[in-house]
Amino acid sequence: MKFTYNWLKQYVDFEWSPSELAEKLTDAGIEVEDVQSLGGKIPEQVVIAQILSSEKHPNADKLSVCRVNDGTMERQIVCGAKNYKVGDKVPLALPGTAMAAGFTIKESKLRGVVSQGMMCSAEELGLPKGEDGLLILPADAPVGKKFAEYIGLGDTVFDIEVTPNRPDWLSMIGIAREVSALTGNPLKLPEIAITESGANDVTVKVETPELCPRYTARLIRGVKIGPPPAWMKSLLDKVGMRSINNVVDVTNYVLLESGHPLHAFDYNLIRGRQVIVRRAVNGERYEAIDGSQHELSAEMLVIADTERAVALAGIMGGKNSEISDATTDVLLEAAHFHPPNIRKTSKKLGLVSDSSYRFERGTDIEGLVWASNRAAALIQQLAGGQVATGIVDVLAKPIERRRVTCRYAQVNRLLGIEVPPATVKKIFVGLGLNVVSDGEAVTVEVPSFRVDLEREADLIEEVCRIHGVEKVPAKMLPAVAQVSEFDAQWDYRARVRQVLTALGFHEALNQTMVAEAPLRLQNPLTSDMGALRASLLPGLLQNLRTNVSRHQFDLKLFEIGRVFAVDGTEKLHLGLAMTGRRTTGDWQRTEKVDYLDLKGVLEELGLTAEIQTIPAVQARKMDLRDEVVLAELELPAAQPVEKHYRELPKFPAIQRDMALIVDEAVPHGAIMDAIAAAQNKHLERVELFDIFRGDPVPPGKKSLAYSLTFRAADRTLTDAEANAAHEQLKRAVQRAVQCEIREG
Amino acid sequence: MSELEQQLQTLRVEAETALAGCADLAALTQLKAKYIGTHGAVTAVLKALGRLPKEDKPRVGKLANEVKNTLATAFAARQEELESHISHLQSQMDTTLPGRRHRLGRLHPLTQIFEETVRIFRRMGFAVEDGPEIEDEWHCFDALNTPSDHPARDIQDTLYVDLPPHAKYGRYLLRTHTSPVQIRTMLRHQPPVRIIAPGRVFRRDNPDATHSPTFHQIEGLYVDRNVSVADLKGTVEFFFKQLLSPDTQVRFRPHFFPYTEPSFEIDLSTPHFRARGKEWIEIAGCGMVDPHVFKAVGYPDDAYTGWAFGFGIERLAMVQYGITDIRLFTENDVRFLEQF
Repeated sequence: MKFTYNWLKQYVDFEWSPSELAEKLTDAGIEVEDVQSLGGKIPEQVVIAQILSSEKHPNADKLSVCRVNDGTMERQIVCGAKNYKVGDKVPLALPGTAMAAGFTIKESKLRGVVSQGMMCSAEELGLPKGEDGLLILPADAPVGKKFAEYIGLGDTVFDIEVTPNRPDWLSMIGIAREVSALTGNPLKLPEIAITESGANDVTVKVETPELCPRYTARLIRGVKIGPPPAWMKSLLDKVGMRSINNVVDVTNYVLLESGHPLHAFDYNLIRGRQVIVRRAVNGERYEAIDGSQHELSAEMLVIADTERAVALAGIMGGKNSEISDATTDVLLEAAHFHPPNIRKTSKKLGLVSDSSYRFERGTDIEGLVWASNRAAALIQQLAGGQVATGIVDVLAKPIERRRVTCRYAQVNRLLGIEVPPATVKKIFVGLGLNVVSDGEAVTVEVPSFRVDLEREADLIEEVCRIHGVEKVPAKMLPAVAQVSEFDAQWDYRARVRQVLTALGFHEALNQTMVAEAPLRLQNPLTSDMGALRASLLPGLLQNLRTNVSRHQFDLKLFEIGRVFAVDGTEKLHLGLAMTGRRTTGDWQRTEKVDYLDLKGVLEELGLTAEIQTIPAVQARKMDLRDEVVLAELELPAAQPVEKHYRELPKFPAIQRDMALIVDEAVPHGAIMDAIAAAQNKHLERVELFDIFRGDPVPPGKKSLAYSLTFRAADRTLTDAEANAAHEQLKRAVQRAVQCEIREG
Repeated sequence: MSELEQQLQTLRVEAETALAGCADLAALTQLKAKYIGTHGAVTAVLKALGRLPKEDKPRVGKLANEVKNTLATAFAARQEELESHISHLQSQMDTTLPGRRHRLGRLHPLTQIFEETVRIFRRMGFAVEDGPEIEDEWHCFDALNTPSDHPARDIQDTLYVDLPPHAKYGRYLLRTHTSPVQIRTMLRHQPPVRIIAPGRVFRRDNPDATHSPTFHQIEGLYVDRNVSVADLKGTVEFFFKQLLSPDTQVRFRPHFFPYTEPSFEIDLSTPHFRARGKEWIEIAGCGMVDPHVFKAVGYPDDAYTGWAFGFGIERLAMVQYGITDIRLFTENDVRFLEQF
């Protein structure tokens, strides 16, 4: 919400500069998003003057000669406009004024008559164009005042963010009340002077008191619709509200002032002179003032006459009854609506207004009468007409002010400091709460504008806010030891990350939302974020592409994140992706990674997964350069780590080598299986240490060389025993696979 | 001179000649094996001594041992020579060449903040907790005092998952904050509860430089018999001073959250932030657990008080490191990742 500094000053006195005000409001919980100082474009030398007399120019038919009072002296001004009458107040540019159009006002003769200044039109002052001729100011415009100050240039606009619990802050008076509580200065509400005459003959029937606990109607007859006064238009401009006409602008002005939404109907368009508050009929058609068309349903509330809906209650008035230039009689509505109902309708129709925004947060059921009277008085003042006697007020049941009790001990318990009862009470009174009983606990009556104060905790918050949270000392926690089942999982994931970073992998994090996956969102923002990822690999592959496109070719990435199945099951996955050189830190080595590199990573982690390979030829078609290897697996739950100690061997081992020439098709695994199947009791370890192809190995074959370690646990193994074991294994391998054993 | 003596003399000359021409250690090892190794020629002569007539044995044996020892000494000398030559060459190595590294990978900067946060809170006796990313309306909103007609639900624009709704807990959605972990923990455990819950959260935000539909939060919760705002301030101050710097100033500002009352926003000021021209940076939200929340999890009325806080990791990382585009966190450019 926006308000201005000068405007606020009309309701409460304070000494703070705009930036101090911003700070004070922030400390009180009103977040100030933006403070903008409006540069004064209107020259200093333009003042408000009153026209005392006007005569025809002796030498020119189209000019007049006026006597005006500029607040300090009488001046003679030659003028070409025709739209004024004697007694009007107008902006007067004194000699020396540099006008926006590029000339400077001088005392000079016009057709032989001295002119000591220039009376101005809106356009000449750089203001939005109004009617032709001089800018006629309201009768109460103070003569002699600088026009820029009067119109409010040089003001500061505040943009504040109001939390949903404080709808009372969505108004000038609400903010002024807060400033009043902070400074102790009284709130200054504008005087309301209405002269009532004639009967208020509107009848109001509320069919749904549960959705509309209060409905009031006032009648103003014989108004003249026209532009609003300059000060009001300028104020609405500054807070970003569009000016419509004098009557509608008054309702908006009072909404901003009091926080209470009002609606003005053209009374002559209300058929049957009757207002009926009822539920809409299913399928009922409705055109709002903004031109939007809606089909209503029975849970929505409308304001109707005897024939049709004339307003969507609390949200937006109807096209069929809006104020127009032809309007003479105004029906002014000030009502209270059930907030959740307004919210539901507004959401469902996608129709949001300054009114619905306030009604759905909660408005002041008592204060609405003040708002109605204030608006009626302003309409009378600005658009003329007669305010009919009395206000039609349909109140479902007597208003009961809420009473809330707050234990002094609970204040101290929750805040962690001693706040004296006298201080607590003083804070409550300052906020407009009436103390109704006092003792161990204080009971207060909550004014109707504080819809948020319902419970003890809410009152304690007020104490904390006004007393100042900075008075609460920071205290260290007493010792408590806590462990959750999840702690072990957290630690396991940290270990996996540690191993992977030690192996040179960078950790990536990708978006959960993707274009295509089995589990979809109901209300995605865009189609490329319409589903929840089922795999981490597309994201990692995209990361590889991003990097390769920026000429980073040697990449090892991993991600630990959740993936989703179509039934909503979440699993924690680990994804791995590698491409480019194996050892980026060793400048002399240029081998590229392949399947076995990723297999080794999985072995280091003690995990298994299917490894996918994208050969370089294919990778190049995907904007990559080298072979890519990928793997993804569900990260298992942390297992308790069991560590066993085995005594170190006391006796020496004997080593023998075994080289086999086999067909290319024979896998290493088959040889390992054959060796394991032989179950040689002295065999401690088998290691593959070489694969050799080419002369003297015949084409289509390869030579695999293994190193075998033999050892006995209880004695030194003899050469003869080692040789026997070696022979046994050779025979076992020969039985299992077709091979030639190379001696040497 | 016997045939063997003749042979020994020849071998000696031959070996010494070969040795003189030997220029590397590998060749030296081969030569050594050829002459005086287990299967070497001189060794073979020594093994053949047994077959000599008795009167020749001492003389030839003496000669054979002499040759073997002479050669052994010569080989050792030559080996030393070659080795010192190599070490001389090495001493002339270009030491300005780059080292051979085994580069370490880096943890994602957001993970680093998560892990550091957990470390700090564990020092204060907090346990780590976790919850699902797909939540239901009850755990994400209703139990946190945000009923469906509450305007506060507008603040968090929610993404709903295409699954049939839960009979009791309502529609499924992507959690908009980590706070449902509070609910799940309190439903399982009676106080004292001290937990920290790091996790991924989602909002229906268009991605741009400062918004991401996927981001990360850390949630803290402490519930016991008499937990106060003073405890909250103490913990939050300790945490941020540990995480950022001992000079960190912490300011609490009244605010509103449906699930805490009173509620505050936490602003931080550090020399680091000030150097970037920012006096106070709004970083976290917190407050005293609302009585409605205790009611939702079935804690007895008025028995406990507690506080909760939460903050966004991306935002903290961005102000801390001066990162101006949130999209860098999910782009995973290695030049970005390597900086943390």
